[in-house]
Amino acid sequence: MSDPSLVALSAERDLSGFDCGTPELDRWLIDHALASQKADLARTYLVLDGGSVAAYVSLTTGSIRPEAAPKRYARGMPRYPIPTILIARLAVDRRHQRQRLGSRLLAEALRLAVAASNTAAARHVVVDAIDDRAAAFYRRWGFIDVPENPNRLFRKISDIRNSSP
Amino acid sequence: MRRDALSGGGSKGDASRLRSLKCLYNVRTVTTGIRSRRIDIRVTDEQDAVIREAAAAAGQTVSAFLLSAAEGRARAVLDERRHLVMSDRAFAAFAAALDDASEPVPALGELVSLPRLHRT
Repeated sequence: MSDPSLVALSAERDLSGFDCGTPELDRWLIDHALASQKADLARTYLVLDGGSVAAYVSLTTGSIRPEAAPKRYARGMPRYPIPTILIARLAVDRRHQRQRLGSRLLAEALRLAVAASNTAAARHVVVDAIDDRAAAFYRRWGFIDVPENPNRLFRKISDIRNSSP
Repeated sequence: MRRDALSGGGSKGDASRLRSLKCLYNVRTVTTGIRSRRIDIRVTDEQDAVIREAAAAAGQTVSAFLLSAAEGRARAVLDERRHLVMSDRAFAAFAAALDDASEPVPALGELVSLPRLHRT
């Protein structure tokens, strides 16, 4: 395998052949990733291997909030939503699976998330797992299920900082 | 009759359904401020009537009414994915855990020790 590299998504990149086995994730990259980036809704990063797109990850911001109206907030409860960095999608092309590329890309996404929170504070990284298999992948790397939100997992930014060498 | 019902695009049922889909809206969408894209949507007579009536009631043109409704819904869908909601009780516990001392997580340590992907 050649030495894969990480690049920010740009308009000239040919995404049309991407096939991770989950059509929803393929379609999003091919049809929506660039528009989302232009609209400042999500940033997408590609793993390139020998000129082809081997994997991608998209990051955006989000929040975790209580369902109650502000006047009902209990004493001691934060009055504002908790800001998060959301890893909304992460996918590896079939031809590049089983090479730990997804794990290496997740590590890079966490570095990007920590860097983002160093600039504009966020408290958690939240991941949006598309199915049970994806959720198991994130649990294997130390992520914890978000209460009451199936297939969403999280880790405190401070835990990620403290786990980095 | 049976053969007709089982045949493809030319069946009687299809023809009558297509007749009802005769109203065509042209909706211009906003991308970076300039309305350079179009969305074409076919609707039934009934849908056409109810949308026109509602747009008139709201004091909007049909296309402005459709655009505001669709854009609001689109942003809500995106919001659902980005913003997680918890019951008050779960949120209180979750928020309190933010103050816990953080400690190295072995699995995360292993993850970030994998070979780096170089940035270009």
